[in-house]
Order: sequence, then structure tokens, then C-alpha cells
Amino acid sequence: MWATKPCLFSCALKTSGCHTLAQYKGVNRLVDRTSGSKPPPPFGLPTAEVAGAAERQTLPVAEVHTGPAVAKPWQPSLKNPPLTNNAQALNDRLQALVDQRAKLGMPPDPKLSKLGVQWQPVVDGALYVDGISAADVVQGSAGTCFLLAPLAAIANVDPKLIRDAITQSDDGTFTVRFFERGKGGKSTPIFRTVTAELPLLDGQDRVYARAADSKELWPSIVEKAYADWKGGYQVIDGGQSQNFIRELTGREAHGELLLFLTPKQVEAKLSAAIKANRPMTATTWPAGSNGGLKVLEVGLREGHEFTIMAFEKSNGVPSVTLRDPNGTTASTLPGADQGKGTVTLPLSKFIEVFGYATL
Amino acid sequence: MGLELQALLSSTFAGGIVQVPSGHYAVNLVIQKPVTLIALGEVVFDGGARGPVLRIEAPSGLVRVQGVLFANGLGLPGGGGLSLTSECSVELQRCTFRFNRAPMFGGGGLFASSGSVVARACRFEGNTGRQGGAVLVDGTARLELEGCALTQNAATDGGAVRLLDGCEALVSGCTFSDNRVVSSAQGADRGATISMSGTATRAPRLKLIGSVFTETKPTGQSEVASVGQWPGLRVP
Repeated sequence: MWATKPCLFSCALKTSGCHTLAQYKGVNRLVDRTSGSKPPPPFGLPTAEVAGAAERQTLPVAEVHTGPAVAKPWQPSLKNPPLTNNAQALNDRLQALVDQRAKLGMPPDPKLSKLGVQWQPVVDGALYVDGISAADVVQGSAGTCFLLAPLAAIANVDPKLIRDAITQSDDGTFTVRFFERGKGGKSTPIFRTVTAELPLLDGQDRVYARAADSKELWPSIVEKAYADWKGGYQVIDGGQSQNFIRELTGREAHGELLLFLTPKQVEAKLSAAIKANRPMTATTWPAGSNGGLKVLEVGLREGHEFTIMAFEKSNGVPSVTLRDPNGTTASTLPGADQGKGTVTLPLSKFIEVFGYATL
Repeated sequence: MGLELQALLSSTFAGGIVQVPSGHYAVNLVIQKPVTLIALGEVVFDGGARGPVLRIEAPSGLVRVQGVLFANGLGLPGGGGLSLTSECSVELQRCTFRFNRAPMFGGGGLFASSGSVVARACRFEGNTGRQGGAVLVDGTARLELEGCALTQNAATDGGAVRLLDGCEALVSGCTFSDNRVVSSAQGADRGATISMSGTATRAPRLKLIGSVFTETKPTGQSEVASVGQWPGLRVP
């Protein structure tokens, strides 16, 4: 038997039509009843676009495509982006504790208010300390290796690109310029302005990206601005490094599946990328894949993106030096520096362990 | 057989038709020109967890695939079964995407970051991805799912379908059943069937017509669909 009830999606997604959720033996079926009453909305217009327009911020479109980022006169709402699940869950648990104490008539505990993940500025924080280098970038608890490995790669080959992308204002805010790719591949600059506040755990350590120097801010600011643009730290859990390189620099980057290339082809592509001063990254095989065990054998993380720092030939043997964006590595290989997170692999081993590279 | 098939695809002229006899093919194919690939009988393309089963990189034109089962592909980083990263159009008819994975980004079965994909009478079964167990559509890509069944796919965000950035999707006459969101520390953990989130500058667009949702509650969540950045639009 069919029975109708208010539409699950018309209330949820704000379609302009009159949909009804009919139920038949417990099975939900969305029935379109718009015909006859209202003209159907053009493709793509219902749902989020229509309903969310008032809530979304419309950013200005810049007139220039190159050069340093310039803060626009338009003032964005400097609301911090949503946190990841684990950070939010921790805060929720602490809040429940505070509420429970209040319910029991107990006095507030000042220690509790200082715990959890809170937005605070880094004490004596500076955008850059001793310039920009790949070694500055350290990944936090968000799944943003796709962002931080290429960020370190850009710092490695052309730090000016990062300096041009970030502008610090007198009021202490930072504006980061990204490029948004539209139809037909045309890119438009997008500016996101964020405050110097970062999510700190118990008022001390940065939860997400940080710099090797405790006062340096630029990796955290880029990650925060990117999260702010994309809708929160939880949205940027996983992504494509070539997208990020294009979005930060406006330059194209290409992904290569290394398994389907011969060692000579890989060598040629790496040499070409080095010669062209392109940022390069490589991703280890994920768990359960063809090469997952080989990744574990060399002590690297599975399904993780690394920065390619160098490609050299010594005594005729080509080798690749990589850096883990975590800033450390568990690898015990002869060419590994656990404290710096770097590892040097012969090209043959590199091709075995890394399935994908952005060159 | 896989290498022969790739050679055949590479040597076919633009607009040509490749007919594949029934059989199990261990392949990771690339299509770089508009061609039509037709399965004669039961054709299984097995990616062997070595990469995407099929990457479509044709700069323009129309690529058609009919009757192929895409299995055991691995998205690096997206699209275990099929990955579309160019501006061409893709038409899939009566294809099945089964047990493909994309653990690093998403779209276990199908990933599109540009161009357009129309899938008619296709099945997405048991695929997993970080974002979008069956399908992830990103950037400016356009997706049409017509008369498709999406069953038992799982992800940390968008168990069946994940729509990102400024993409467009039209879903008509489809059945979504038993797709799951799996809890993760970092992910958004939302949208057992469909999850959408735009950026601060553009939003994905979705049109749903006459589709069936037979959804069980995902772990810890009770949403069939969710729309990121617009908390008021979440389905309770």
C-alpha cells in the first residue's frame, strides 16, 4: 500500500518543486508531483544551490591572475572552519562533562575550560621564521598529506610561489590566494582571509598542520585557508595533489601511475620535472593493494603522499630522495633520516613502493 | 590478453568500435580517444588492485562503454573502476562496478573531475572509497545516473555518492540500498547515500527524480543525505 508523507528531500534539499515521499511496504520512493503546478526547475538549480545562496558568501573575482595575493576591500566573515570528527568529539565530551557538573550543582572547574581543541593564536607566532623551506611543513591529525606534501614540494622548488600566495594584513589576518578551475579549464583567483587563530589542543600543540619551528605559521595558515574555502577540515580529508598544486600556484600538474611506466620512462619524467623546476610528490601503495606489503618492508606509511626532494644519479645509479610530510619516518633503510623524515631510495625500489606520482 | 586489448584500443581510430569477446581480462586500460567499447557476452575487466581498471583521458569527444564488469580496481587516488580526468563525455550502459576501491581520495567505482559521465542501467556493488563509495564527482564534472542500482557501497563521507565543488548531478530512476557511512576520525561521517559539499565560492547541484532509497542507518548516523556547509539542510 502506498502512503504519502512530507517529502524527505524537499525539506532537506529545498527543491522548488512539490515532491512527496511515498512509502510502499517500508520502501521510500521520491515522487515528483511538480508537473502541472509549477514549471520544473532547470537542471542543476534545485537543492543546495537555491537554498544555500543566502548563507554562502560570494567572493569577489580578482582582476589579476599573477603576482602577490592582495586582500580585497570586501570583508569576509572570519569564522573559523569546522573541525574534524575527532576534535569535535573531544570537545563534545568535555562539554558534556561541564554540563553534568552544572546539573549536579557543582562549581565550574576552570581546568576543564582550558582543555580540548580551542581556537587560539600561537604565542609570538610569525608567518615565516628563517624563510620558507620544505622542512617547515609538518602534518597534523587531518588527512591532508595530499596538501602538505605538494606544499613542501613547492617550498622546495620555488618558495616565491608561497610568498606570493599569502599576504599578511596590518590587522593580523592572512589572505591566501587560490585558483579555482572552472568549465573549460579556465582558472579564477579566489581569496580567503583567515585569522591567526589555530586549533590548539589544551592550549598548547597545533592539532592540524604545523611548522617545524613552534612559532612559524605559514603551513598552518595555508591549510586553514584551504579548509575554510573547501568547507572545513573534515572535507579536506583526502584529495588530489595535482589539484592542490594547480589551486595554489595556478600551474598544471600531472599524475602518473608508475606501475605502467618503464624505469627509463620514470627516469625521463623525473629528470624533466627536475629540469623544469616542477613540484613533485609520490604516493605509496595503499594497504591491501598490489604493492602494500613492499611499502611496509621499507618502513614507510601505506597510502601516504611524500614530497620528492631530489632525483640524482650517483655512480650511475639513479636514486630518489623523499620526505614524509609528518616530518619523521619509521624507515630504517640506509638512506633514511628518521628525525627529518627523509629517505633515499634507488629508482627501482621507488617504483616498487610508490604507485602514483605527481610530476 | 590485457596488453592486446590496450594495443587494440590504442590503434583504433577515433570514433571506432572495439568489440570484446566474453572472458576475464586482467587489465588497467587507458582510453585516449573517443571510441566505443562493446562487451560481447560476459566481459570482466579485473584491475588486480594495481590501479584503476579504466582511465579515460580523451581530450574531447564521446567514449562509450557497454556491458563491461569493472572489478577489483584501485583508485590512485580516485576512481578504482573508472577514472575520468579529461573534458570528454562518457556513456556507460549496462556496466557493473564491483569491489573497486579508492581509499586515498574516493569514488571506488567511478571518479570524474571534469567532463561528463552518463551511466544508464549500471550497477555499483560493494565498492569502497574515502569519499563516495561508488561515485565521486569533483570540480566541474557532470554526472547522470539513469536507472542504476547502487548497493552495499561504503565510504567515510557519502556511502554511495559524493558530490564536491561545482559539479552537477542528475539522478533519475535509481535504487540506492544498504549503502553505508563508516566512521572515521578525520572524515565528515555523513550521507549514507549521498553527501554534497561545495566550497565557499560554488556549490554542487543535484536533481533527484523518482529514485528509491532503501537505507539502513549507518553507524552512528541517521542521515540518508546531507549537504555540507548548509547545516539547516541536513536530513534529520
